[in-house]
Amino acid sequence: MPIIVNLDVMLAKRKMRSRELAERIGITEQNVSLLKSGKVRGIRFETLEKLCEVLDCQPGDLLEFRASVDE
Amino acid sequence: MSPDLALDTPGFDPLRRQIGWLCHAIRLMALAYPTWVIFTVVDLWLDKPDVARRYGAWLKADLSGITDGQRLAGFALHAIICVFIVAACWSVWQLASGFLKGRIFTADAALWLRRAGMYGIIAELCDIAFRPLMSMVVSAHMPQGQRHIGIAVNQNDLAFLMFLTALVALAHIFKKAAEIAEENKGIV
Repeated sequence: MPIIVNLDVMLAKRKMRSRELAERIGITEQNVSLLKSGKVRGIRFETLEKLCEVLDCQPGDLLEFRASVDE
Repeated sequence: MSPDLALDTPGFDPLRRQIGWLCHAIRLMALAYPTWVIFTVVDLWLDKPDVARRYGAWLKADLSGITDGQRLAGFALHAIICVFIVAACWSVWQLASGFLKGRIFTADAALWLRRAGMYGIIAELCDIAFRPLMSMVVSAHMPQGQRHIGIAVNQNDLAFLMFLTALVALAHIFKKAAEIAEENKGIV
């Protein structure tokens, strides 16, 4: 998928664990893990807003578009 | 569709509480209705004078000479309908039980709803189609030329078919809703 989720990078920058993030934004740790690996169909604006708030970043810091190699 | 669609539909607890008593009522009726129908059918065909009286009134003929073989054949026709009624009610029971467990917008709920509708339609169509057959069976002992073929379709038949077809249509809608619910599970 050409949309890359850079949540793990952001978590490392903020020195925060997935568990703490999950607790602070109110989603399950399993969903944070799925989000980190990009194995989700979509992300709600509500979740994105909380992520940005907790990690003190912009949506662009978390999501990135990379064109596929075969395109 | 993935097999985990059979799992509980999340976020539907308030709905589950709302329809809980309805589901219990539906399950009770799904149990009572076929029991009642089977009892009525067995009771009717065991009672020779009652068979002669009821079918005689319908065909406007004296059926007092009806034989045991004819009664057995008549019972067999009704038994076929009963099988589909039981299947439809079993499907309704399964559907309501699934709702009680929180399986609302799931693939299996859609499947049980569809089965309930389809078995119901088959039972109703058999009932309509067997009426001329039944009239031939109960008047088979009469001399040639006095035998009857009774054809009867009433308003209730149309009403039943309308509601049962609506169930099948709803089942298709439910299936689509289950697919959407599955997709939504992938959105965090």
